Amino acid sequence: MNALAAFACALTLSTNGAGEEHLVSGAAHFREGRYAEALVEFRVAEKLGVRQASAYSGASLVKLERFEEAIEAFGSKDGAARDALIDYYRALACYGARLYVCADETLVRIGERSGPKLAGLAATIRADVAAKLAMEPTPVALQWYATRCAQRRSEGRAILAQAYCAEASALAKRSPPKAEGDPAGTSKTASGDRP
Amino acid sequence: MSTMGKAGLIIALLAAAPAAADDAHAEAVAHEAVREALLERATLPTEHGPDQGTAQLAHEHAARARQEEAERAAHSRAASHGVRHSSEAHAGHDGDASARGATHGGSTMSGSGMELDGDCHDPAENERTREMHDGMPPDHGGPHGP
Repeated sequence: MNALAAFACALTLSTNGAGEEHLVSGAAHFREGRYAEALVEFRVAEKLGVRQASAYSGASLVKLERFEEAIEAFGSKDGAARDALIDYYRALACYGARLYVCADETLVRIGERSGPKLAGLAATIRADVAAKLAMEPTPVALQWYATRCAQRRSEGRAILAQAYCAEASALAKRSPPKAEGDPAGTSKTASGDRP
Repeated sequence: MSTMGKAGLIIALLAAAPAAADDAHAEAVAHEAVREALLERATLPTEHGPDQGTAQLAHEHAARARQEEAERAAHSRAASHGVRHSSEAHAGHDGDASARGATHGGSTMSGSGMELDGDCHDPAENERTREMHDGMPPDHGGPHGP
């Protein structure tokens, strides 16, 4: 390390100070329900290198019902830090994008790590998701997820593509075995022939 | 490293240390503010609007069910009227326009998806086409929608 590096370090810290101002401003907007404005502030903080600012952008995107973008903002599920509050918003993004297995897996992680409010909300959504997942996925639904996966991959949106493919794979495991003489698995399920 | 370099390093670190402590505190405060806002605004997904929530899907499903029921009823009426028209024509009593209007309840048949010739068209066809072009699977796409 030399003087120049130390100066760069100090400069970075100073820049993060500016980023924090945007965090505070974004928090105020978010609290008042001005999610588009909050998103702008968090995006700026993100550009300035503030840690977790991307996740805050994701929460704003959830509120703006831009669920797919939110999933991308939260990033890959595997490498994510275990934060109950962020996980809750991530689960909402999954739910909004109809990635119910993703939502359930994320909500499970919240568990005891959260306070009573988040725990209550998570439990309510999990019950809803459980009811949806109790129905057998149809071939049409599985195909829909597979198509979405391919589309998002072709658009270069790897995180989304992975999410849709993972959902398709998880749902396929829940499907009943294909009937004999029905290699396409097109026989009607208990829930009918609709997704 | 030269003596000048070492001195510069020490000066820079000394200058940066208090600032770093202040920034760390400011950063923690800023994150806490965001977390409080996120927690305060954490709600159930039912608040989410059109096209995504279960409530909306249920609403769409109910609307479609009502539409299909209306189509069935319209089709049934058209078939019934077609039979009546056919009998009247054969009997030579195919009356004037007002009488024909009364037979059809005075309604505009094309408006209900039917034509005077008794053909029945599916008024929902366009809607279905739009949904499919929107990238959604038939019947709302999600695997577990209503």
